[in-house]
Amino acid sequence: MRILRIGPLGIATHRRTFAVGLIMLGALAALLTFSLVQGQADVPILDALKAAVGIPVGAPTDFIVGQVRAPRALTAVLVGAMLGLSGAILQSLTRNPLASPDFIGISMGAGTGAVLTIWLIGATSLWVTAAGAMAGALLTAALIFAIAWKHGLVPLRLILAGIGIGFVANAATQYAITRMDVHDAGNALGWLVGSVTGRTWDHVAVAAAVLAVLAPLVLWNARALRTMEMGDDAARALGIPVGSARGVLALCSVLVAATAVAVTGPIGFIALVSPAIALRVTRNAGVTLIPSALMGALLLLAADQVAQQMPANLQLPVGIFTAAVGAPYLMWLVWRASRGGQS
Amino acid sequence: MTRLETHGAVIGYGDTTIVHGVDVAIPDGRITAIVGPNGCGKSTLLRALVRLLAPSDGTVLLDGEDIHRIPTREVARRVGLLPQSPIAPAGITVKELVARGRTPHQKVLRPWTAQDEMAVTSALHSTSLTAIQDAVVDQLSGGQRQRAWIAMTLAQDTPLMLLDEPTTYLDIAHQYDVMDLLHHLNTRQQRTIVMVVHDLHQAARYAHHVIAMRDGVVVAAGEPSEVFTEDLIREVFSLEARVLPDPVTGTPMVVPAHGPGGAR
Repeated sequence: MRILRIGPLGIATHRRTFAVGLIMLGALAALLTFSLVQGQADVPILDALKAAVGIPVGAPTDFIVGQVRAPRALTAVLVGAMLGLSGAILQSLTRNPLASPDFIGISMGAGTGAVLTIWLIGATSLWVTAAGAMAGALLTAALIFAIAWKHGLVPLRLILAGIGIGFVANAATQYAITRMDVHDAGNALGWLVGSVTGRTWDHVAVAAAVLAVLAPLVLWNARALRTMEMGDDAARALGIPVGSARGVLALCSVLVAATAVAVTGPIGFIALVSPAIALRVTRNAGVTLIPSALMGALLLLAADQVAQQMPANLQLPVGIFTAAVGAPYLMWLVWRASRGGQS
Repeated sequence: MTRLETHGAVIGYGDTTIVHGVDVAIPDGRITAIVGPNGCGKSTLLRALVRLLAPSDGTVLLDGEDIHRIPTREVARRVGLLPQSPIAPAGITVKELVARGRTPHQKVLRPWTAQDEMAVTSALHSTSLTAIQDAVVDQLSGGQRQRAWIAMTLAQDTPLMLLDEPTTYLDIAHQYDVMDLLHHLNTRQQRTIVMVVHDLHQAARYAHHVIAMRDGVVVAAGEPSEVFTEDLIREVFSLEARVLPDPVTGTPMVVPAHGPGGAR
């Protein structure tokens, strides 16, 4: 175990994890720059960077980069990070690589909450929609956890209950859409596909605000999360207040996922695959929160870039794109599990 | 002298009471074995001793103080537990696992100190795992894996160590290997050890103090020679047995009184 210690904070991490994290951070910066520069009209790098932070460089660039590309790319980064983080927490808490908010019904519940909010209150502001998504996700999560609870949280029951509740939530969403007026319904349907297209600085603000509050809370409990992977008894014996730590972490995971859904609509598979890939590249034992978040950001931004590069008639919303890429991964996971390998 | 004791502790899960008001005192600096038939409540008692379960009546005292009034982390600095089936995270190395024993000594912004490093090194050394500290735990043999878990509990650096069936699932050589290790920790490091064991022979050889339970009550407690008598074995295990001196150590050796197929 090569441990790296950083200064007075005494943050200790594996050297490899730290190095991989730096590489991911570098890749993210490069991809972010690329996404500002590249598009239907290319912009010089320096102009693009200036325009992205609000320094005027000229009319079309100020708008294209400052109001279109930058918020879109940052939305992808923040939502990707949220999905990666949320998935990492859930997979660690349940010790199951299939547990991710889009699989166990939480994203569906968030979607229902958001659509119901649009139906009942109207799409007044993103903050209201986000609150609706959070309420929907919390309610769904409470229901799923209640059903899955039997002398403790049983992972398989959690996943089955989640899939069932997810279907119910989707049905409720569909019903709400049939009852909306055509304009709202069109909006809701477009949003339900999951996309970062047309996202504004408002979206970035919502995602950044929620992440700024919840990410420190999650990181504060990271040691508890890692210790609970050894079983409740072992964690308690090591001085972890298992009940409260699990509650806080599950709540954070649900709220983060709900915010992601509120901002971009449900985008599948990022939350499922990011923690797994992060584990593989860092070769860490157990959950790796920051690498999972970085990986989610990288994947979603990359997926959106690839989706944008497609010929105009093939341009897909990123949600459909991630699903197309994620499904084979899921099949591989199931195939590996069925061969008795560790999953 | 005792640092850990119960007074009339009634312990159970939900509405089911498993342990019916027991008084035990764990002697300091000694090895205590808790024995009894399956379902007698020995593991339940052990869990209450380390605060994993709260007694519905009576108290568990750690250093004379109600253990439920002591903060979780503080308890974890005084009493360590090796649970029956802990889970090793996939891909974790021996040293990483052992390092997790330091959890109760760490804080969020001050995670790793020279003292932590020393405790881990010493735990690896005591369990003869230094040479394989970078091996992945999943790939170890059962005996080595159990030593790694014991090393993790050692690194926790608690004066009291509780172990729930530390030798189950191990072959006979590895069972005695673990027992010798516990003996060594007790004699050289003055650790107080409490273990739940099934093998009476091991309990008699290695423990200084034996607590025999049946149906949630303590039937007898004392030195192995006082507890392992033919009458008590009958009372606790419903087994007709002969008690002979162990030809090697002279400690009591319990042998069923019937041959194969007899006495039933």
